[in-house]
Amino acid sequence: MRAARVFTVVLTAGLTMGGVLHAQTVPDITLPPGDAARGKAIFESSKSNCLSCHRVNGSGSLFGPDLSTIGSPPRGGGGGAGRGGGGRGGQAATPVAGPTPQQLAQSILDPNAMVSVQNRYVRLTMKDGKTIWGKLLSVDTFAIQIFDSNEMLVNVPKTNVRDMTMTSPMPSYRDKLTTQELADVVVENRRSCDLEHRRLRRRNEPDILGYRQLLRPTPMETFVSVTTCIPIAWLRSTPTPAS
Amino acid sequence: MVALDADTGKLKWYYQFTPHDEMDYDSTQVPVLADIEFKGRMRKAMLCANRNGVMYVLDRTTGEFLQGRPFVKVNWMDGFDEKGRPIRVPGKVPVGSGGDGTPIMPTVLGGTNWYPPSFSPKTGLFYVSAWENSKSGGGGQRGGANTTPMADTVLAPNVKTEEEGYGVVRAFDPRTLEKKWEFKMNDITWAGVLTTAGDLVFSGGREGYFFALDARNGTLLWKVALGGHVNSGPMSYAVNGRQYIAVAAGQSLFAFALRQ
Repeated sequence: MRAARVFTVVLTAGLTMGGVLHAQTVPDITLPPGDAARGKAIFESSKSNCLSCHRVNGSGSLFGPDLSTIGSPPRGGGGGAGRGGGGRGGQAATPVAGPTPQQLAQSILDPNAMVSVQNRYVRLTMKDGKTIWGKLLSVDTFAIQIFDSNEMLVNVPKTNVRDMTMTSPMPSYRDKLTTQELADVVVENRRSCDLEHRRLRRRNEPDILGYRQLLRPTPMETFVSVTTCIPIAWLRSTPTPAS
Repeated sequence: MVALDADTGKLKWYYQFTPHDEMDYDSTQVPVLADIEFKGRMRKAMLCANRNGVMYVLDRTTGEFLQGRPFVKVNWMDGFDEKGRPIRVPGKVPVGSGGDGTPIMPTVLGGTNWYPPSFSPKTGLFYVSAWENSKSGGGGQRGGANTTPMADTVLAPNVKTEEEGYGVVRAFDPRTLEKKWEFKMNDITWAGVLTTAGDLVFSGGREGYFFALDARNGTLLWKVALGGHVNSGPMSYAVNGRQYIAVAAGQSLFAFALRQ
């Protein structure tokens, strides 16, 4: 039932946001002033059904990207690869800003326009004809590990897969939201994000990445830590934010 | 590459793979000696799969350049002149050296690197661990993007696409440098290659698998998950007539043998 739901719900902007991609594209989208209260109502409505795939400040599904900190203020260590990304160790990345309102809007209108590496989703067409959607956790020569639309960690042998397509399960909302509604949702995303940052600052917790997520690991971290017994902290490509 | 007189240390010959190298293609890859037929006569050859993405066949007695050919996608050079010197592609240097800012292939980490290749006199093939679709600079994905440094040994998730780089074991005919087969992995590899008289090729990679391939056609014959990166060259030895295959993976050493 949850699998079918994926095709009908709206995954909002966080699906495609993250890392250094924020600064690379400036969509030509003009938004009117938005109203956060209206945006919140739309976001939580059955019409949009955003929370059935997304999580915001502890509420909602784990399947889609957590939007609690989408639209974040500038932060350090956004997942840069460092020189060569491998052989020379990770250099501290240049601080990057969160997505602009236009980029948030773009991700709602065109979910595949800008997809961060950590938010890659796949559609697996199995040899028995079934289709499985999932967040790609890892792929190797023989198997694909995903966090599926039932919020289950699944290891799929490649021998059972006919085709793998890397694409977002989030439908475009281009014909489902008016421009005003789009602006309202974007404003609400940024407002709720700001609330999350303030809450973290009050508790003296670092923004975005760090100890908070060690206590509340993402599905990928849980999966890998369970399967390989390595410390979650090590998985971070981003250095622990400075205090 | 230099050849020295083992008794005197005197330089016998040298060959420079990447003259005026701005890309950091250090030539610390393992040369392999092979006696092969080249253009109708037997030659004492040296086979070199270089970090710059090009495979070379040199005459090891004289240093003569016999032939060269990319074994992965390469865009910094386009062929050789009559002396065996690479013909450079304008603009394909780092921006700091006057480059045009477009990606350079292969990555600075190499089309291959220090992990050893192997030659089988039985099959006549040269086996190389390689990084394909890797690139440096230009704002694109690098070969090492989303990976960990080579010194790390624990497994890490890999979500790269094939276009963003992958590891592969490739077999080449050193007489022509034609690719005969390949075994593709999803993640890049720091693992060397071992081939045996039983027509097996052993290798592994960052995914933590160690595997045996048919040296003649690349068919996967056996695999095992070792729980850590295979970042080393496998080796073979015998004790009391029993053959073993050993490899380091993660922070452990593993040895395998056929059941008795």
